[in-house]
Amino acid sequence: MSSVPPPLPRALVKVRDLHRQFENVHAVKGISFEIQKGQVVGFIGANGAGKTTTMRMMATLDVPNSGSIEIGGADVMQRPQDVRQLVGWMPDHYGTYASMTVFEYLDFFARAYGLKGKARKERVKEVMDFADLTALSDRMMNKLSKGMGQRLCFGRMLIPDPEFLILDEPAAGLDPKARLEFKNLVRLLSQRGKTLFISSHILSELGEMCDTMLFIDSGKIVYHGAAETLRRGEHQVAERFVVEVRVLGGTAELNEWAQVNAGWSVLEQKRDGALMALESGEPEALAEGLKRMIQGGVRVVEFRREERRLEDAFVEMLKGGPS
Amino acid sequence: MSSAAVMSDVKPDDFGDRVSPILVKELRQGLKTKLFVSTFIVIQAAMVLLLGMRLLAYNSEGMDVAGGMLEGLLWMALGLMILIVMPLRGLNAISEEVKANTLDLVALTKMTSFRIVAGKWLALMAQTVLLTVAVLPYAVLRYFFGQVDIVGDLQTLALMLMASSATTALCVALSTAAPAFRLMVLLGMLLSSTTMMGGLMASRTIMASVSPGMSITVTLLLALFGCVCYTLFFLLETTARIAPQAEVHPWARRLLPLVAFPVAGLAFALSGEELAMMLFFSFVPMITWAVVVGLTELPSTLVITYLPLEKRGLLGRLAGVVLHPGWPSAVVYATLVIFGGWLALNLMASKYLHVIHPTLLLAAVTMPVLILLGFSRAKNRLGFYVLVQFLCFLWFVVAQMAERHVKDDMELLVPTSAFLASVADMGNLRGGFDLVVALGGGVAGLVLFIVAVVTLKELRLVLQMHQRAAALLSKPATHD
Repeated sequence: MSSVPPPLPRALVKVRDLHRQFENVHAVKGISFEIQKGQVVGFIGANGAGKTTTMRMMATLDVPNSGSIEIGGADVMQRPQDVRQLVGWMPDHYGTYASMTVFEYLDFFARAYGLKGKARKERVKEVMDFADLTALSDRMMNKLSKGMGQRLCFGRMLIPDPEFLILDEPAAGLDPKARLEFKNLVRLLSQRGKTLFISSHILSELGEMCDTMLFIDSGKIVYHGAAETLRRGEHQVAERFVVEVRVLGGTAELNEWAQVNAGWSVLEQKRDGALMALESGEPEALAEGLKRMIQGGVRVVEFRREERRLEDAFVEMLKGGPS
Repeated sequence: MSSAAVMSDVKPDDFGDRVSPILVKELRQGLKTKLFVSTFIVIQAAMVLLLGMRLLAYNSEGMDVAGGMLEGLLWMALGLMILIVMPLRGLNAISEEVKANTLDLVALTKMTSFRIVAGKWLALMAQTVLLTVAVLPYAVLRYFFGQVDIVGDLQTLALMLMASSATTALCVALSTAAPAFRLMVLLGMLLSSTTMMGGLMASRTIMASVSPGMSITVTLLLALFGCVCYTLFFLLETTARIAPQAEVHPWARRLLPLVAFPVAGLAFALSGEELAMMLFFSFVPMITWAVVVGLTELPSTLVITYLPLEKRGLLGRLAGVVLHPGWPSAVVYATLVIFGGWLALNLMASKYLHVIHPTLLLAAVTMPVLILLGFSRAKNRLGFYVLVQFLCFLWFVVAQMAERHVKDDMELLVPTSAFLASVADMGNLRGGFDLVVALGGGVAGLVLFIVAVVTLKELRLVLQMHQRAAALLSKPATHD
């Protein structure tokens, strides 16, 4: 008889005051965060920042010295077997077997996850269809390209239909086409309500895929919030706005306007406009500035608030220390 | 789709669903390997050739000589296959998974680390049995040439398979070691036929040494028990090395010898057979390994390592004092094992074995723990332990070269050396047994006193683990 599983809590993952110390290295220093069900979270940090250690603890492959991790209400230390039913893990170096086809690989993991008979065959077929592996069914694993291998690893992770997917550097080493396919898979899973926790060095890509970012540096969380907020710098107390203005008919009028309007300055001249700064953190002042610019006869065709690259935000964050 | 619902409702519809997934996978891979296929072809060709030669020599003058030679070749080929070639394949069992980064992925499935290791061993054994069964028709055909004891042959074959089981498990355990070490083992086993001949001769000797009063069933049962214990020990050792920290098993390594020793001792007490006595002593390396590894373990502060014991109530907590990972409990374990062994030997032997022997031995095995406390940052603690014992042994050797009036004092000043002197050199000691008790016992007593003090201090950790584990278990596991 099949039992109906209890509804999962809104905060699917709760990490509290997590510490992990190896012999001489304090890899994770008291980090805490929560991940809501259905979120796609980007986990960013330099090499050795504690990303993989944290992820391995969340996947029950390592245990903390102190602190706790709860996934779906189950403690990873107290009930690792329950947690494993909820978690899918994709390491940075996916594993392959010699003398084994794509189908045999997925079939083995389906068996290992306890699927039997018809259910196993159906699940393997579903996963192969989802990850676009059906055409590769009989291909030997050592004959797969990096992108194909990544899709296979993705498929393996999906075999037990986990709620929470942990992906460690999944886009590393992929060509542009494979990267696009990977992003599509992430989008599809997100649409299906899965919660994803993805680490990567390619921050701009994470920004496109993730709705929440988590920055870790030297074992400590330095930022946890929306990618958009970070890009706009809204997590900091705004002191000025930077806008890019494009105009018709030369930039002379725009430069003159900037000289006579208090608070405005030109940061960088461009062929058909300029990068300008307003020394105010008030959005009202920004709107008023645009209005006066048009009333002043400047023929504005584009007025766009400058967004920082996530890489820049990350570097600034590291300089600023924990927030 | 909810796979959880599907998993519980569907019945298996093929044989593969009834066996371990790792066995299915390993057989799928293993039966495709060149080594298996080539071994199969070579052994079949050899058998056909041997039978053909036997047939040609049939009814000729040299029939007996040729028969004997061919018999030897047959058993040599079988021994090579069962005791060398197939077990050696285990040397890559775990290292291949580590190299391919697949161990973590498998560990996260519903399979425990022990099932993974056991599945790999079983797959290798299944292939060995398959090759052996494929040879059986040729063995039966020999019957028609006469002078063949088919029952005796089958019994020898059974013993060889038992030895192969333990050897395969040993190779699987060695597959977690460094590549250079594995290469040494591989070369060592390939270049010398000692193991094969040893195994073969041991099988034959055991068969031949069955005393008239002892049934072959008892012999086979004792051999089976020994092989099962050693196979299990090697598999548990492998499991302890590969298991994620959230799924630790080192305590199983200590538990097994505690079961094996009394059973072998009881078998000897009941049967009085030398084979049972041999079995008892054959477990000494197993228990030595358990003690040495235990004494070099750092005490675990991870509460999950204590949870399985805490869940078993008072009995589990008492077992924790002996089995919880770390050297403090290993000191208690070593005390229990050494004095338990001494007691058993006194019960089995006709002559009283003095209590100074286990005292010196306990001081000898625990003394490096005190030195290790001063070198807490030593990375290879096991290597450090072995080095200390080696230096103590060198001390004993140097003492042998010293002047007679200082030799005894030198020997008895270091516990390891004192123990060696007490068992090997006692007849030559100037002061005789009294000196061993006075000087050796005095030094050992001092060492054991310090070991006891630091152990009791560190054993508080086990109490803390109990409190932390109890707190963790009392936490309601609810979905909030």
